Amino acid sequence: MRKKSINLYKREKYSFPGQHHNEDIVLILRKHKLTLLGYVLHLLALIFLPVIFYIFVVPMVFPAFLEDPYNKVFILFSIIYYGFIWILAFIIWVDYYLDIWIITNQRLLDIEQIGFFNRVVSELDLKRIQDITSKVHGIFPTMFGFGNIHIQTAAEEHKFELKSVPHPITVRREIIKLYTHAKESDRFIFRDRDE
Amino acid sequence: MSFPFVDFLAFVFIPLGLFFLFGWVIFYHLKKYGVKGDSTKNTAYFFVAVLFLISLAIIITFFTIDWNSVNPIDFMKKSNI
Repeated sequence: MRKKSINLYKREKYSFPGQHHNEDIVLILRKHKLTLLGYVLHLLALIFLPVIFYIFVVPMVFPAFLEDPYNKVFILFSIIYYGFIWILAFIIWVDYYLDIWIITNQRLLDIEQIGFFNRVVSELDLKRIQDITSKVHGIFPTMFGFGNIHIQTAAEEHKFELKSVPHPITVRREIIKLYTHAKESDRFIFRDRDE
Repeated sequence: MSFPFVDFLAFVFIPLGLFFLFGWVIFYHLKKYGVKGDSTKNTAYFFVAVLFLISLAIIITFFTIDWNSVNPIDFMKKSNI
């Protein structure tokens, strides 16, 4: 049963830089796509801004923009504006794409991309997990099935937090299974050594 | 108005420069930090392709404008400010 549920997520074809030998990726998690909705709405507002400006402001305040050659100048500046909007969207996407949690059969990696050139990578040995909590809070997370997972480690001060991950309850169960499996394998290793 | 050389530099090299900078940044990150086998990274190609088209559109539009007839004083006269 355990194997079946893990295979739902198992990404055998995947690998990541710094992966250990005999380390299998079990889960690759990103924030739920719905967390991008706020950014998308902001971007849409910025996209429609020149259109609104052209329809409502230009005929009244800048009628020169309606005739040649100033209409082309307006188009030129609009394209430049949209270029910057596109770059903004690009930055948001990179932040989404490279903010990732990788759960393997040995450890949990929390990779946080901040802007283009800042990265924070934390890792946690599965055997050091002490407490794990999943939290689904609010209407949208309940409807679309995403939430936070808090992982308390042996080191008291640091708490791992997986924010807005899809299926937090299933992921929590999966981590607990991996933890149990890692502990059991450890016990077998020690038993073999004792014998 | 004579051919604006400084504007030419700005409108040709800035878009191309931004295209190459962002293209390099994304592929650097994908190669160094991205998860191998993850198809989500294909979106990066789309972003870079559109950025290239935007750069091209800026350059083409720049050359279609008759800069000799662009006059800021004339523009202000025609505006209702």
